[in-house]
Amino acid sequence: MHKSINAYLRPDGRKGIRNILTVVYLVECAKHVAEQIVAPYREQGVQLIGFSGCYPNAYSQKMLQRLCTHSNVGGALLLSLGCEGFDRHSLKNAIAESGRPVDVLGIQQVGGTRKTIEAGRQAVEAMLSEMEKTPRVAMDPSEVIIGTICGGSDATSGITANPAIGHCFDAHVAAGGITIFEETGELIGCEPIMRDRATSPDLGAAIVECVGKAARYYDVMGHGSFAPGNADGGLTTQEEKSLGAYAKSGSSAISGIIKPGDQPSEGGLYLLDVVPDGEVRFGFPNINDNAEIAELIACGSHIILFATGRGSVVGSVISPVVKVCANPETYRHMSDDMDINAGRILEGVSSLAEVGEEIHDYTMKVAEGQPTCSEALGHQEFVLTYKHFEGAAGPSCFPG
Amino acid sequence: MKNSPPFIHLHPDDNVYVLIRTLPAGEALAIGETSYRFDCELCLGHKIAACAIEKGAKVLKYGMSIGIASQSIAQGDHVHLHNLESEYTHTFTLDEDRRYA
Repeated sequence: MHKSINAYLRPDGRKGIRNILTVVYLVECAKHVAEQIVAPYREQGVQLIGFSGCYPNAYSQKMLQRLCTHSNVGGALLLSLGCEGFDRHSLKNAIAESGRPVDVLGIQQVGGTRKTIEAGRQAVEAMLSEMEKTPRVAMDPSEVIIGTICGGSDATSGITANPAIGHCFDAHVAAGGITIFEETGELIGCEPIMRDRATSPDLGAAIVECVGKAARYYDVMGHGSFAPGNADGGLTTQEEKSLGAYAKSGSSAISGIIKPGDQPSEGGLYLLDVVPDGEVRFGFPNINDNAEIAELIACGSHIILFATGRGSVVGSVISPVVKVCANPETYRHMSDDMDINAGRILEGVSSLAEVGEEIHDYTMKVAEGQPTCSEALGHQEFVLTYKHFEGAAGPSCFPG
Repeated sequence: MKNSPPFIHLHPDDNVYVLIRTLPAGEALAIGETSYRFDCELCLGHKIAACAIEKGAKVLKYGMSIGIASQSIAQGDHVHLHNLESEYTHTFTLDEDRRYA
């Protein structure tokens, strides 16, 4: 059994495994100032996030609010130019209501770049001192929320890393934990199987509809789903390709569909619907892996399991990213970046179940504070773009 | 490692194995007591029938259907585009009843 984790207790009662101070630019025009404020404190858990757009957007507003009040986050400094469309007041209020220290600096108001950098660093120093006093609390391993994604995949991903993560997910759900998988666009063909795994017929129907939405969206985007190279790699059908990615979800029942920023409260396996609602607008649902990682984190993920075959190097702000390398050649070639060698399965030295157990054990060590490879290397990628979701996503997405 | 099979059985219900290393043309591949050889190289990731699969039966990988056998498949056959077809109609209007009936 895993021992309990020495977590950070937030005023809202949630528990974090890191104590991050986010410095948030609210428009691209404030990014340089925000970067300069962060630079001297990168080693002290001060991290840069933000939104580049000047036009307001409900999705990005919700995303930044969820990220700044994430359980791994202890405080936030918001950087505004002063004239952008982002609603800094409601973001500030939401963070303050969560009991976290928060401050807003307007560059036009403070008096330009140099003065704002200086004021920002003073604010960071004050908040870091306050955050040092964050109370600690015992956190049961089952309280850790785990998200998963695959990227830089190759022929090995679907036979080693992805199903091994599935084993880890099954173990975590069996212990009462929350797990989140995503990218309905890569699950096309799996919807009959997912429907049968849903905890209720209504949820099953919603899953089928959700994947249908993704298929329509990607069709409009002209995004091909099955490339000739897939067949060379031994994949025969669309559903087989999708199952390779789907294998990350394991075999637990699917408890609900969530949208970016929705945070499950009950243990179980959740499908994150990343594809925007309504007509196609703003471009691709997610422009790269980090956009999806940010959404998994906004849904509460403390840790992200990232399966890669060809070798992705990315990490993230806020929540540690664990690289599960599917291909043993890639693992040897890029070992500094890889946390787990799932490629051992191909060499006949470990079973899927053994690697799955190793991933789960390692995840708990990371929860206890051990840095992942991407954390140690300083990876803090973050991206947030425009999206549109209809209605107040949330309770209606949790049938029952 | 040399003696371990060159394939993995991803799920106990699967009727296919997946090659975990490239199998050179002519190299013997043992399934139980029987030995099989292939005329051409088969790369990592390709599928071999773990048992006989009747025409029209589901081909299972990860314990889930990846399509229907479009012809009878014998144990040890390479399973790919020539004998396996998607059940998935690649239509984006998603006529659910027709597809999943």
